[in-house]
Amino acid sequence: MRVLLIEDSAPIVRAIRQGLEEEGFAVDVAVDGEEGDVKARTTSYDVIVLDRMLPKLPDKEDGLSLLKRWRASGINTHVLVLTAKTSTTDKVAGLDTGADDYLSKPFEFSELLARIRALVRRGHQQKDPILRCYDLTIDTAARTVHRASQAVHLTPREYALLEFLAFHRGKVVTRSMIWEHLYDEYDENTSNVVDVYIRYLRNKIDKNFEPQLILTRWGEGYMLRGDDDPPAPKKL
Amino acid sequence: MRSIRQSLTLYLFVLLAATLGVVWVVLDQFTARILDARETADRDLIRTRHDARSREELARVDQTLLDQARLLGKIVQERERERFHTEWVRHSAALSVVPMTFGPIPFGTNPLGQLAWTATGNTLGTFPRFNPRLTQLLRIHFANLPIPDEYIQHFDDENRSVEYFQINTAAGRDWRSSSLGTRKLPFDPTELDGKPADPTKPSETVNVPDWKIGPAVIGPENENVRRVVYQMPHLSGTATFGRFWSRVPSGGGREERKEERPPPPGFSGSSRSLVGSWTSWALTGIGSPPPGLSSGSPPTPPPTPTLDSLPRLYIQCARPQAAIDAVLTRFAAERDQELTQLATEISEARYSVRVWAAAIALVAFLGVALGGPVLVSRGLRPVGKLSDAVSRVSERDFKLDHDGTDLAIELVPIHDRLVQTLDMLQRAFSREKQAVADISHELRTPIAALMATIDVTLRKPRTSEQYRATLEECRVISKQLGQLVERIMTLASLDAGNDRTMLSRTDVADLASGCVAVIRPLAAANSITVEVRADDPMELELDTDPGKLREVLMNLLHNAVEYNKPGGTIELRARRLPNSVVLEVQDTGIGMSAEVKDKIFERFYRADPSRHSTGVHAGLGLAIVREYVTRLEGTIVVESAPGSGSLFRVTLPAQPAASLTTDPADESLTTAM
Repeated sequence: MRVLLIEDSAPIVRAIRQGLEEEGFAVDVAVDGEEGDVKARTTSYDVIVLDRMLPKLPDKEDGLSLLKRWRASGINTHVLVLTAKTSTTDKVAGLDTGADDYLSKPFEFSELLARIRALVRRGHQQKDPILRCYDLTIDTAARTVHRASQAVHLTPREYALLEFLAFHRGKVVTRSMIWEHLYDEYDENTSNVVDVYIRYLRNKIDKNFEPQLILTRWGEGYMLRGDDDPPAPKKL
Repeated sequence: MRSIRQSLTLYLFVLLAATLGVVWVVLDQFTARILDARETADRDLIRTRHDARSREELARVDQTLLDQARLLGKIVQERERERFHTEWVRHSAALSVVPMTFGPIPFGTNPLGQLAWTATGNTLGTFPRFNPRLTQLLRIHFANLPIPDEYIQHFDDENRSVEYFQINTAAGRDWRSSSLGTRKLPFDPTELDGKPADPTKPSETVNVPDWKIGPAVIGPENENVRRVVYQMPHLSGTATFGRFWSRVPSGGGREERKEERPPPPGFSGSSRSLVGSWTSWALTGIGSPPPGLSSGSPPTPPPTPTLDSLPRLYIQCARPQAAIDAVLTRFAAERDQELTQLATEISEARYSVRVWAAAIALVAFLGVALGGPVLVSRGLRPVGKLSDAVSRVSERDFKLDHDGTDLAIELVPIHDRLVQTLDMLQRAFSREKQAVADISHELRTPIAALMATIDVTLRKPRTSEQYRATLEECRVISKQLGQLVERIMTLASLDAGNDRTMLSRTDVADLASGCVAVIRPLAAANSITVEVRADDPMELELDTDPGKLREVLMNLLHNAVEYNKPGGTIELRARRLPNSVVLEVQDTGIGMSAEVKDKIFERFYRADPSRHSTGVHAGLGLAIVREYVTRLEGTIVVESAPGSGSLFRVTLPAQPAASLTTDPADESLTTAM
């Protein structure tokens, strides 16, 4: 999942970035309004964490002004407003402008994380924090994966890939989609790194299990097997 | 708590009462004076009229008495002359022939006149002497003076019973009217005697009127009467008789003259008068010399009598004083009645004036009682409106719900002041709110950073290097937090007035170089050069608070670094002016617009709210600078334009530098010391 963090306080950026990356998020950072605006408009993020007080904005404007413009121009990315303004009026103003969530500083990192996860789920019309696919269960809150009641240990990157596939279960996700949502702006790996991670993932969740859940659509991309997909023929 | 309405109404009543009181007093005094004047005038008029009337009545009575006396006298005289003539004829045979010395005697109708001529003709130039026979005849005639009652019969009728008549003769006989009865009018012939006005001038004669009016007392009852005594010769004189009469030395005074007035008071007290003398002479006998005709002193009797010694008749007419007094009393009663009436009228007029005044006062009081509260309410209506508007002011917007257009002119200043105050309050309130929000915001951000850092670190087991890095991070954040709190506390302390300025002799040039030395590494990190240009250090000494001044300079230099372009320069200048020291910090930074320039000294304001720069001023640096400069009684101004850098100029007051007025030798001496 790719998150844009628009925040001008360096220590906060550093901490959140580290925390989110450790949770498997791809994190892009913008330290002022200008940069944030450009990034939000050019990249499809899963969640944008937006600070209200930002430098390099026109006079009397803040993060909410950015948000308003985005919404007006049809950008429907989930936005979590993160701000030091704590009053109810500020919260109401933020939510009414088009924010999906509102978190005031200081905050606990786990709460921020949970809210971001909730926004991600909401983005895929998924209420249940546990994603299921045949005998595969993905607990998005605990970030644990079980296949046939056996715990499967994944790296954050592998987990993120699996989660992304699970959120799009039954649909083909292209490599560029994967690339776009799982890797941040500084990743300079070529696109075949996706194939590498798919192989890692298959080794961990499909190797000794049936049916194979990660399907390859040649020429298109990959997909997690949906309920409608016929099970693969048993190996001869 | 007093009600304006009640107070005003009360004041209105008090004012009305005072005014009415004054008007009452003035009116009362005025009318009293007018009425008094009128009363006095009327009273005087009535008295004068009464006096005049009484006098006229008295005069009329006197005149009546005198007229009647004269009338009676005339009648008596006529009768007497007839009688004397008869007697003359009867006695003519006994008269001797009188020698005629000059001219034919014009024997006229008056035998006595003829007799007189004969008596005086022979002794021209000498005092005449009477013929003894004639004298004899006269004595007989006068001694037997019968006055028949019928002479005056017609006076003595019932109609005039209140009047008394009495005729006295020189011979002592008298006749009294029946009204007198047995009583007598007192008679003293000397009352009508003349006497010389001045004894030392015997040649002068006195004018003795032939009548006298005065009070008298009659009878055993001592009845007071008004009486006129009229004297006249027993025998009426003809023209010739009169001429003869005039040659008598005292004759001039005997001519009848009508006297309108009663005789002067001194007359009644006359002593021995000429008439009296002659009368007594006639009574006592012709042989003795007549008195008073000599040129000597009065006691010396004249040697011989004259024809003037003819006996006289005294006619008295009297009226009872009681009758006169009755009239006068009636007059007085009428006068008193008029006076009483006048007094009644006056007091009635006074009363009616008072009643009117009271009625007017009552009406006025009623008017005020009814109209006063209405008036006051009406007058207070704008105040009520304003008060309503004030009561509707809420802390949400501090807006006065009244535009002040229909306010009374007296309330406009209050309204304006109220609006100003509310405006100030609103600004202060929102500023305060903003300050609290700003402070909390500024505090929350580093705390959030701290918490996020710690949270993220604690999520997983870390290596000791990672923990160390996290702790370093936290330390930096905490330090910034501490600085921020310090600044906020500084401002709060300045606001609370707890801060005290510690003045001491400060070398500004030294202080400036110290600040530059501190800032230089930071500037060098941004490849900015810092220069100091100061005047002679001696001239830059002044009494100030070095701590505050250092803070000011450090803040300005920090800003200059923070908002400068890479590779720019900063120049710190210190100059001496006659009455001040000027410190200027010039940078080559981004500059600022006029709009920004107005706001940079406001708290939490940032020209560019970028927080990842060098400092953590949180928009408080320049606010603190301005507070400090104000405490140091200086001023701070900024000159700037976007893109062309900024110039902050601090002007601090200073005593005129000694070096500006003294020569360098003295200065060096001072420096050495």
